[in-house]
Amino acid sequence: MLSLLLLSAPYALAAEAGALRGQVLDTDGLAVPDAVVTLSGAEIGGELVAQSDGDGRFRFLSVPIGTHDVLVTRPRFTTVRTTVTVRLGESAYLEIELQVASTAGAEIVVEARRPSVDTTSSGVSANLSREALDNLPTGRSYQDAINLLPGVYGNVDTSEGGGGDGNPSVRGEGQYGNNYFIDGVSTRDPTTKTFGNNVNFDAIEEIQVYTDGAPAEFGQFTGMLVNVVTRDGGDEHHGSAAYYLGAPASFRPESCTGKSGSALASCLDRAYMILDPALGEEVPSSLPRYYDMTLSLTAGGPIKKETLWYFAALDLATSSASYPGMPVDQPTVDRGMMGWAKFTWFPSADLTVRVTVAGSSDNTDNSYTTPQYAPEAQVRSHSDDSSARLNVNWTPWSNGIVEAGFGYLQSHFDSLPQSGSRDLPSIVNIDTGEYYGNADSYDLNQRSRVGGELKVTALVPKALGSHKFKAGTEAWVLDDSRELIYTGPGDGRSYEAQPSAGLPCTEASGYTDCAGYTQYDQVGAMKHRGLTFAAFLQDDWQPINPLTLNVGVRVDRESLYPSSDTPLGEREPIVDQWMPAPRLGAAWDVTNDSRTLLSANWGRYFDVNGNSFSEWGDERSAYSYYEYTYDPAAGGYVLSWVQDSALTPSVYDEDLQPAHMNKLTLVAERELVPQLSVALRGMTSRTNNIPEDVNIDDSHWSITNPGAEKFREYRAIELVVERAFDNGWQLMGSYTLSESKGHAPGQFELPSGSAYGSDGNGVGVYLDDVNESKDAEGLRQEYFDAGYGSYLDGLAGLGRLDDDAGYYGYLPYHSFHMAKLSGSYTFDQGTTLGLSYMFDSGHAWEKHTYVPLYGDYYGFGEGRGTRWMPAVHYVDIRLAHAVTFNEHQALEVSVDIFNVPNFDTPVTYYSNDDQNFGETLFRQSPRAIQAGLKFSY
Amino acid sequence: MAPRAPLLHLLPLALISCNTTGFGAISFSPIYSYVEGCVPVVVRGSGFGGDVKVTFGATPLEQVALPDPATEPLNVGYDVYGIVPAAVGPGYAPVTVSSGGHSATIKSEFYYVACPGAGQVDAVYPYDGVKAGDTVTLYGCNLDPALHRVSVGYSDPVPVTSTCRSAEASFVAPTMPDGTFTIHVVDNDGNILFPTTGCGSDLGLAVQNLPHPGALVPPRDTAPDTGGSYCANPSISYGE
Repeated sequence: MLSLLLLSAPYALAAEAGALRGQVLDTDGLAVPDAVVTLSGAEIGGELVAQSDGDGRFRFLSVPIGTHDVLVTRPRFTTVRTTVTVRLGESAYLEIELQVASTAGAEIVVEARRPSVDTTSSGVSANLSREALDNLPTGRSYQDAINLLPGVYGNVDTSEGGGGDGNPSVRGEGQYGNNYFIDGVSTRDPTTKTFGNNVNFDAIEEIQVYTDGAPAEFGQFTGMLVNVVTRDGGDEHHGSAAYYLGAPASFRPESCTGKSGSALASCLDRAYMILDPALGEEVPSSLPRYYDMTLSLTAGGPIKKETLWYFAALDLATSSASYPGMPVDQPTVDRGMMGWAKFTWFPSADLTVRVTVAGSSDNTDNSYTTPQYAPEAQVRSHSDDSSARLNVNWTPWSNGIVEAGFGYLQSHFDSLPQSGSRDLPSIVNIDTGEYYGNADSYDLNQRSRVGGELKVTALVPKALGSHKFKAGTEAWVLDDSRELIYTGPGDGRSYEAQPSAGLPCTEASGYTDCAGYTQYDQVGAMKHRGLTFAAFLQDDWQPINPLTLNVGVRVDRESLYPSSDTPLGEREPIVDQWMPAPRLGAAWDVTNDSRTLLSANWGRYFDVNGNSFSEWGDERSAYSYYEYTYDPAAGGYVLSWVQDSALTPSVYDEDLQPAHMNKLTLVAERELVPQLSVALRGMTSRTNNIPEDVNIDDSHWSITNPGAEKFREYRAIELVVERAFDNGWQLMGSYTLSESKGHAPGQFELPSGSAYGSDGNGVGVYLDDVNESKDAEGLRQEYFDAGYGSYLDGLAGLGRLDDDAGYYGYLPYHSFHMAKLSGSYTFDQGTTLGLSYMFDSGHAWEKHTYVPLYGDYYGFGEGRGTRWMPAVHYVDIRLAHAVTFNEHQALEVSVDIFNVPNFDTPVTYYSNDDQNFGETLFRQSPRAIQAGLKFSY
Repeated sequence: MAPRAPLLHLLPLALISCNTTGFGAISFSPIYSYVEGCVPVVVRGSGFGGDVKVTFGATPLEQVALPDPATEPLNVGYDVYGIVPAAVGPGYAPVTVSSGGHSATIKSEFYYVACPGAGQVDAVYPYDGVKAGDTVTLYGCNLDPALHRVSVGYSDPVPVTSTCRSAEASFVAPTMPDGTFTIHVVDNDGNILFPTTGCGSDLGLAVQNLPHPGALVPPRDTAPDTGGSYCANPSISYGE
């Protein structure tokens, strides 16, 4: 029988917590009942008390994450003091041995033991503690820090394999398949389905990442769930002020001109070789010259001890980068600030309320980084976000918890002409390809997310074993808006100049001497709304002590409303899907001491489509224009092209099924010695029903599930060794052998801000429309017989799923081997050395052939994933030395070096089938250094 | 029923068995030609060895060539080049590729188009910088040296020589002043057989009549490059 949870004073219930259970035994191994177990410490405002039952077992249902003091007392037994560390979402286990006291008041201090294996869960998750974030080399963001975790790949933009925005991905599910939480509340971007919020790095307490077997409580992702838990404050005032400076440190030659023979060979060997599109070959390229500076401030503590805490963080950052070929007086300059404030209030012993407000603003001048754009055609990028979160934790009864969370997030992403002018037109010189005059548009994007969740946990100790029931619901209103305001006279017009043809396109002539112009339709703001709702019920059932069954079911619903002239309240949803997802798992504590785990988990996982999915069904398009070309014979401009302003929208199949994944996960894990565990995991998954736009007749296109099933599969074996931070050092190593194959790497991935279309075959779900129509052969024959066969060139082999191998193959997120090793050691004199190494055996890639019908390189001429990028090694180190002035104040000097060996392995080859095919498009980021000075109190 | 091996034991075997570069015949371009063939084609896939063979229908690909490792190292094993053979008649022809004991057939993709008329010309090479006496090649169909001659602008007709069945023929450029001139195919009586319409057709807007593919960008008018003008008729330019 499990004990009841007793409360003696206000204490902190973390928005995201762990649990603690254990057993009190005597020296003969017999149970000690009625022992009082008390938890206290800086993370607990007060005390948590439990009492052991007849079997000596005790349980704390919800314990704040962190390290806590443990006091165990029992009359006639020696008092024991120890510490225990509880991790996010983990049910830690603690075994206490009491000795019969030979003298009254005798006390023993037991060396702390941090339980490292959760034997009650069949899911796979990883935690990054504050010690890992402080001591390992990272880019000071949670998005970068999670690259340290097993199986996560985010060093490059995985959709194209090049140096990009680094959105992480895992288990072959791509960068758009993850859900991002802050303090248990989703902050995912409604349109892009990537992260929607940055967090001040020093405000992070811990990061938990679920990669496999997540319980029914968590959903709307097929990749990983990232939960960032922020710091609370505390009963002691503390804070920090830090300054960081980053700069390149590769020292590579920028040119090998004038060298010959062995000197030339040596120069080329050291140079950063990159594709020059004009020459069609790799040449030594200068690297961007940049610096970035960040000022990071934190402060936290009590406003009223044990009643009201505060925590605040502020980051001010600026960077300046000069890119190759750009004028030196046109650097890309970024200035941003990010603020965070959190209040934690304990109005009573059983209630905790947290309120967080945060905001950021960022501006980048000269966003275009190629000399193709003249200064007056430059673009300023602006982004900002504001958010508020309310978390309430309430224990109305001793065996239960009620958690409520509410969140509001609004963000803007705008591209603005740096000229500030709406009337000046954008002009392109056809002879040189240069853009000048002005930027062509204002691109205004807004996203918002409002909603929340309610969860109830109840412990039922005696019902065929013990049960930990949890039920809950969540709902969100997701809005986005995009507006393109075109610059130029006549309500939006841009021009083409062709001086070689005697058409200089001058303002003096009133732009009557141009090669052509484009007249845009100003469509106005296009707004979408998505509504999501979810409910779940789960039970962690222990029918017998060493066996826990994780059983649950979750249902999600998504309704999407397209942009339309119809008022929002009167619109019908074009997508309305229910997504029932069972989750079943079993975890067996083999040795019954919380050190050995065997588990199996099967679950179904859905991801929402996202607001951009409904763009295909929009009645309007942001890209609507008329092109005019100068015709000497006519003596003026003639209409040469019309991009329809009122496209027939695509139709959504009434029976459109949501894409879903079925995944089986097996785990064997063992704590070898205290704090050190090793795990062997295997997982296999298949994602089905990936939607596609398929022609159903000649007049309009349908979004449906393709007739022949389209899917992707992932299989892996993963070995993980982890030594939690203790006694000054930590270690994490992993090796993942995996395979990711299928027809489509993503789930209808639309690029950020797109008003129309997908990334095509490289990323999304872009099958050959002509081949998927009901009468594919007949339709293509019409093209041939009408003399338009050239439009279809490149289609052969693209895609009918049932008879074509081109679409199925190794996906862009696939690489066979990934190995990681990270760790840190703190020496007695205050010096810390941190190391991170990652090996990737190389991602799959392929040649893309040109398809005139689509006007771009969308064909898989030789099949998906038939070629391989080279293996890549990433080596980063961190060296820090802290000078301690007194118990509370210290000054730390640090240096992080990224890509220590300065490797320049290609990470992306040019894949379009033209003269540049196979040239290096991106290489590893060159060596860079980040120096820091941090004062903490 | 015999106990099944634990899945964990099977996973390594499953992964080991996957091949990294297997044989696959995936695509070809172009995917149509006139019944006469004679069109250069590239067949793409993976795992193509030196013994690769390609057939269109039952007819072997002509003038088979493989990528030169010295100049096209990235294409070795992935591409095979050749000339489309002639077909018995219009319609779809299956394309079969075999190499190293593997074989793959792509059906209902390559299409033989019936020639729309006599003396059809789709393209010309070279089309600019031509001088009198240069050999100029015509690409099209139903080009018969016995029945057809070519006039350049207002020049007298000159004979043509077949270089690939009736789909390819060449002539010697007559003397003409600098300028751009339409090429006409004429019969032995001097009657113009091709082209029969003048320039200036509204090709751009005509494309709008095609079934809308609903793709990223509707197909643009890709008028053949005839010297920089938007005229669709074959022509050559004399002079610099």
